[in-house]
Amino acid sequence: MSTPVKGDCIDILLVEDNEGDARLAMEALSDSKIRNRLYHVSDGEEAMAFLLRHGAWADAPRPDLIMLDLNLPRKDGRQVLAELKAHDTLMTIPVVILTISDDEADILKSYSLHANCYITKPIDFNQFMRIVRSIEDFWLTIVKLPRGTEEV
Amino acid sequence: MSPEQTTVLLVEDEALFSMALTAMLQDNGYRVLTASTGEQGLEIATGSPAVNLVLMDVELGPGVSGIDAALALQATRALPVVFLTSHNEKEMFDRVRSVTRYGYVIKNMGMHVIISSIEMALELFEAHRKTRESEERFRALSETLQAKNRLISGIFDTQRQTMTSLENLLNALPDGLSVLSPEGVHQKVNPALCRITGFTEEELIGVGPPHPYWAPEAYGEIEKVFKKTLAGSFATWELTFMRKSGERFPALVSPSELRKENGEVLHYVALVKDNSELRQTEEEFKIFFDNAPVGKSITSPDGPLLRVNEAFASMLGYSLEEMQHLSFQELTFPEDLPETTECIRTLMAGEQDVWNMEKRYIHRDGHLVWAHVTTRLQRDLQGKPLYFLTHVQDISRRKEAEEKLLALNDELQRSNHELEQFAYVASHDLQEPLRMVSSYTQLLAQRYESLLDQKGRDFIAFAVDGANRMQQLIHDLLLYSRVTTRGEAMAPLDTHLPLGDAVKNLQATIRETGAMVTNEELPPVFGDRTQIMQLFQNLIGNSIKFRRPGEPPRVQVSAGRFSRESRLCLFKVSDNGIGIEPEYVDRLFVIFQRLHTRKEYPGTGIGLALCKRIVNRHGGSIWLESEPGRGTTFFFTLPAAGAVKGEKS
Repeated sequence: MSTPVKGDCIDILLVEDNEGDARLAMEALSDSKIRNRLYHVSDGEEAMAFLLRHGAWADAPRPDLIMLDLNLPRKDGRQVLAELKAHDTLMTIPVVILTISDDEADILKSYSLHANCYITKPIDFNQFMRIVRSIEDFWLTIVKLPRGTEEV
Repeated sequence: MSPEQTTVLLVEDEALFSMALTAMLQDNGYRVLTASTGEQGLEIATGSPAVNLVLMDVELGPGVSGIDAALALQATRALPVVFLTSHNEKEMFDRVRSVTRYGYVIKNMGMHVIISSIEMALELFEAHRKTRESEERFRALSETLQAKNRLISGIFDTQRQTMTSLENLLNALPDGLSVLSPEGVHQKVNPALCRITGFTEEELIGVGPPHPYWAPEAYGEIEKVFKKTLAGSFATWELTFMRKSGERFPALVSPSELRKENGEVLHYVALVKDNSELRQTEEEFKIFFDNAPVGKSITSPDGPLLRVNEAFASMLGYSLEEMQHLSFQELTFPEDLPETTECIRTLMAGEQDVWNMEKRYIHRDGHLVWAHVTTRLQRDLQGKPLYFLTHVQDISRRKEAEEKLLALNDELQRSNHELEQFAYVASHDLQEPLRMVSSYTQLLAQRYESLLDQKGRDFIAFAVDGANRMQQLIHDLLLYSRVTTRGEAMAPLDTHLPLGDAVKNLQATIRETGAMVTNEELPPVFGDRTQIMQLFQNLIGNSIKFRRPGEPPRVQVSAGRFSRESRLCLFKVSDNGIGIEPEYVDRLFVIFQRLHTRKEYPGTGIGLALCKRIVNRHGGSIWLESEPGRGTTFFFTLPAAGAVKGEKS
């Protein structure tokens, strides 16, 4: 039986420009056994603002998991990934790339930027729901992660 | 000759008489040698050059007789022999006379007779010697004379031959020749001149100017030449001559003169060449060259155009006159000069006889003219380069068409590429909204199922099915467009590997249908492993899908090279399925063409179109043979691994 890293509530940051997909992910997680809070931002700039607690996101929590799309407006997902993994403290947060692309080049690029895993969004609705739930299950209940620190 | 210088050899067997005679001869001043036998006398006479005379006794007792000894002696040297004998019979005289001309002495006739006989014999001998000498001289002289005679007659022979040769030469000369007196009267004409002019030798010899073959209308000109010749100015002239028939012809006339040693003119010699044939050839050449519909030029090895034709000049926008002042360097587009220079070098070096090239000339107005140029170098008999003969064909229109074609081809490739890119991006972006339709319809069905009636649930099912099919189509379209846009690099490949992958991917279907997929030994190919796997997977999948009801599918994969040299391998995928009606065969490889309803056989109709695209990308082709109700065989070709790498199989 695993324990959530802090308290009884899990914080997930979803970086996704497609509202429909974001909503589907929320729907999938809303049925979860684990209590979670899903934060959704729709571009790379905003994702970095959230993580660095800039502007409106001054009180944002440090997420336990980041689900990151690659093709994003303003700041690209690959750029977000590179900055994140180069950051002293943020680099330990697991990042799941969840994207429509199954391009080999994207996969290779993501892993070489230290993405924790790469998942192509399944076309099928039910499969999509299953995958989102299993991401949460795997990363938040099975995998042992270092304790997060509040300092940024 | 005095007695003191005279040595007498006495051959006498009677010792007493010998001694007495010796003493008497010595008293008379002779030196005396004696011998008692014929053999001894012969030996002394031949061995002692000093002996001037031999006194030979005829009867020498046993051994050689005096006469035989004298005969033997005379065979070796010329010596006067006087015989001594006791006999005076006529028979003896005859014998002795046949041997010697110097006489004989009867022994008892007294010593002074002997001395006189010796003196007479010596004088006679001397006279004989002198006669012989003068005979010798005469003979030698007459021999010399004979030799000289022979030499002289030899010289006469040679001269006669030379004259005959000259005569023959004149007769054989293809050109006319006349020998004229200093006044211009015909002294000799050769047969060629008669043939050319049509006049006989008799009609010409002795005839002075004007000559019968001078065309009257050309008298003025001919006389001018004639005067120039008489004044000692020689050249070759083209004059109008006239045949006996009255026909005029151009004649090349080369006069020359023969002078005596004192400088006086002996003869004029005129060589007359009928130039009408050459003129005709020249005329024909001119017409051929000048009026040729393709450009022609004669160019000096150092550049100037010696002669060009109208076609060449007008090709480059110049007049014939202007072209004479231009060189090929000025007319050639600078970028093409190196090849032109190389052409000249190669031809001059004799490495090649003819040079072909495509080059650009500069038109007078500045635009470039593409031409196919063929050049050969004309040399003289000694092999010395004379000029280049060049044939120039305007290929601007062909080049223009080629360039247009290339541009069109580029354009087509670009547009094809754009289209592929478009198909890829479009299908990729189409997926996103479609996923939304499909996902939310399904979410709706799940969350609100209890609120819907059967109709509502059916509607949602149709919506979901439609969205799913649309998704499949987009997926297949993506696959199709990716064959060329996202294809992997080709490499030599063991064909069993992609076939194995394909069979593995089809494992569930194979098990489900009880299908049996077999293969023969397959040759290695040069290709994209993923795509060839896709190719096998689609064809084998098709064979299983279109199986006959109640018949377990059998699929056989086989292959072979057309020949050892062939760069393509032929593959066959045969099945025992339902087969294809011949009238549908053409539609089979067209994208999204289906022969069956989705209810009978599900699918988007992209499988075979994809196969065709993959095979085409590999440079091969695909076709099929089918017997409805019996089965289908798909054939396709792929490049052999060795053929592309160039290795020996």
